Amino acid sequence: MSEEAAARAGVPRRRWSRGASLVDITDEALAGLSQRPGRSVMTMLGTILGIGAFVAILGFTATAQGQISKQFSLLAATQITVTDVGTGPSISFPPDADQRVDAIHGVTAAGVWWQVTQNQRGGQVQVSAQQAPTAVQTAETTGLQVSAADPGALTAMGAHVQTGRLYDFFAEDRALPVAVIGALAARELGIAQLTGYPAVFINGVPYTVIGIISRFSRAPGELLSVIIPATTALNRFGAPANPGASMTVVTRPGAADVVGRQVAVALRPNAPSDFQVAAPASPTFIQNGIDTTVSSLFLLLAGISLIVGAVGIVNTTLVAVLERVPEIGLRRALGASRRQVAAQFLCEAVALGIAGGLAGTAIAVLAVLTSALVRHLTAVIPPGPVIAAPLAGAGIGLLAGIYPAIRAARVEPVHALQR
Amino acid sequence: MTGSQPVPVVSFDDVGKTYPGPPPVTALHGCTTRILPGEYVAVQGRSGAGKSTFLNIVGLLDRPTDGRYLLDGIDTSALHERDRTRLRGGSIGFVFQSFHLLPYRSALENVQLGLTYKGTRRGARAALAADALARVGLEHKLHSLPSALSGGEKQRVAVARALATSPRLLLCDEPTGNLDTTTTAEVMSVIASLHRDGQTVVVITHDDAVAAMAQRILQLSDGTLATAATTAAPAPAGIGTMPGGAR
Repeated sequence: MSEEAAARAGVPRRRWSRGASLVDITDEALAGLSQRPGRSVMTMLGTILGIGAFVAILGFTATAQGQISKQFSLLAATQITVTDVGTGPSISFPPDADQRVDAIHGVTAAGVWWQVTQNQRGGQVQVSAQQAPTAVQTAETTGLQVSAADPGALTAMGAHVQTGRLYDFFAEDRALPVAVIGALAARELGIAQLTGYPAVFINGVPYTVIGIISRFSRAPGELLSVIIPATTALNRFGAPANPGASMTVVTRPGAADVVGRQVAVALRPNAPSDFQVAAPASPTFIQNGIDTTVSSLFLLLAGISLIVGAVGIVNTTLVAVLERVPEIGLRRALGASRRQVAAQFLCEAVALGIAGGLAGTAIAVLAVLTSALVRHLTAVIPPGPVIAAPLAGAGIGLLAGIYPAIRAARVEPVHALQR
Repeated sequence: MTGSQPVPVVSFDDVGKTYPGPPPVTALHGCTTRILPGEYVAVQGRSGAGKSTFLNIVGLLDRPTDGRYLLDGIDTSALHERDRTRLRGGSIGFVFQSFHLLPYRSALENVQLGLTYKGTRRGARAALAADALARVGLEHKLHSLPSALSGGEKQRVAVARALATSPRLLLCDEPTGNLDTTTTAEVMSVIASLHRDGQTVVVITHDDAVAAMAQRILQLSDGTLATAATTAAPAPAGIGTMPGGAR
C-alpha cells in the first residue's frame, strides 16, 4: 500500500515521515566529526600530506621559476644578436657598425665580435704565456680561445673588469697589440696581476694584457678567451669565415622588437639581407623544461601521498562504520533511510577531504612563504592549485567515502540494535 | 471491523516468521492479535519464545514471512522498504533496553534526532524535544550529556525521544532490563503516565512486575501467542477494551 492508499484508508498523512533534509544530514555528519576530533585529524592526515605536497611543490617551483625567469627575461628581452650571413669575402659589418647601431633609439650598447679560429695561413691559433711555447706548455693552454671584439662589443657582452681596464677606440682604430683576458684564461696563463705589463702570445706574437674580466653577463663562455681589438684581429688573422662575426646589441627593456626590425637596414641599407637578426632562445623556456622534469617527479610522489590519504579515509571510515553499527541501527529505527545513512557517511568523508585539503593548502602556503622569506625571494603561489586543492580534497573524500557509505547503508537495524 | 470501531494500531493476522537458516527456524507462527489505540500491552515469554521477532515485526524492522500485519490500518507487507522506513519514522517510537543514546549529544539533541528523521521543521524541533523531556520530568537536564545522567534518566531521555515524534505506538524492548528496582519504578511510572494520556504502549519484558502494569499481557511460547491475560491496570479515559483479545 502506498502513502496515497494509506491516506484513502483514513490514516493521517503525518504518519509518514518526510525524512531528513540534506542540511540535516550534513549537520549530523559534521556533528559526528566534531565529536571525534582526534580520529578526524588522523583520518585527514593523508589528505593533508598529499594536498600539501602538491601545493607546496607547485609553490616552490613557481617561486624559483619566478626568480630565474626574472633575471633571464631581463637579459633575453634586451638582447639582439645580428649574425653576418653575407656571401662576400670580407666581413659584412661596416667599420662604423657600432656608431650606426648606437644611433638607433633604444640601443644602449652594440659591438661586433667573433672568434678567431684560424690564422691567415690556415693554421690553428695558439695561445701561450711565453714567446716560444714548448709542446707541454701549448697543451696546457689548448682550452683557451682568441676572440676579436670592438670596444662596443665588450660593453655589450657585459664585461665586468676585475683588474686593469678595457681597451677603447684609440686601441681599436690603431690596431694596437693589446688584449683583455677572461678570469679563467688568466688563471690558465698564470697571470694574476697587471703591474708588470704581462703579455700573452698568440702564435708567438705578444699582446699586452691591459685588463682581466671577472664576468661576462651576456657571454659567459668568453671567460676562457683572450680578446683583442677587432681591427688588430683583421690585420693579423684576416676576416672570419662566414657566418662568423656577429654583433651583440643591447637595448632598453621593451625596445628590442623595434630595434631588431631596424638594425639590418641601419648596418647596410643596400644589403640588409647580409644579416640575420634574432633574439636568442629564451632561457626561461629551457628553465621551464628543467622545472617540469623535477616537478613531475615530486608531483608523482605527491600523487602517491594522495592515494595513501584516500586509502586512509576508506579504512578509517570503514572502521567507523563497524564501530557505529548500533548508532546506524538507531538512526534506521528512528526513520533514517538507507540513502540517508549512506549520505551521512559520504558527507563525513567529503567533509574530512575538504578539511584535509584546506589544512594541507594552508600548511603548504605557509611553507612556501617561510621558505621565500628565509631565502629573500619573492614568493609566487599559483592561485589555481590553491583554489582547486580543497575541491580535490572533496573529490578524494567523495571517492574514498563511497564504499564505507554503501557498507553503512547495508546495515540491518534488526542486527545493529542487538549489539 | 465496523466503521464505528477504532482502527487497531497493530493488527496481526496469522503472522509467522521463519528464518531460512540453514537449518530453517520458525520464530513465530500463526500469531493473530489486535492492539487498539490507547491500549497498554505487555508481551512476555521465555528466552527464545519469539519476543524479539515479535518486536522487530511490530516495529517494521523485519518482515513476516507469513500472514498479514497492518500498522494503523496500513498493510505493511506490501510496502516498499523506503515506505516502511518512512512509516516507521512517523508512527513508531522505540525504547531500547540499552538506551541507544548518542554519547556525544546532549539530552535535547538526542531527543531531536527522531524529529530530524521524521522531517519536522528545524525551528520546531528544539521546542518539541524540550516538551518531550518535560513530559518525562527531565526539563532540568536538557543540555546534559548521557554520561552525566543516571540509568533511569537515560531511559527517560530515550522515552522522550520516542515520544517527541508523537508516535501511534510506543514500542519498548525490555525498558527496565538495565535498571535497578528504584529506577525501574521511575521509568515505568513515566510509561504508565503516558498511557494514561492515551498513548498506545507495547512493552516486551520478562519482568512480571513490569508486565503487571499493562492492561493486557500477551504470552509468547515457542513462537505462538499462547494466552492473553487481562490485568487490573486501568484503561485511559475514553479508550475501550479490545474486542476478542489474542487468539
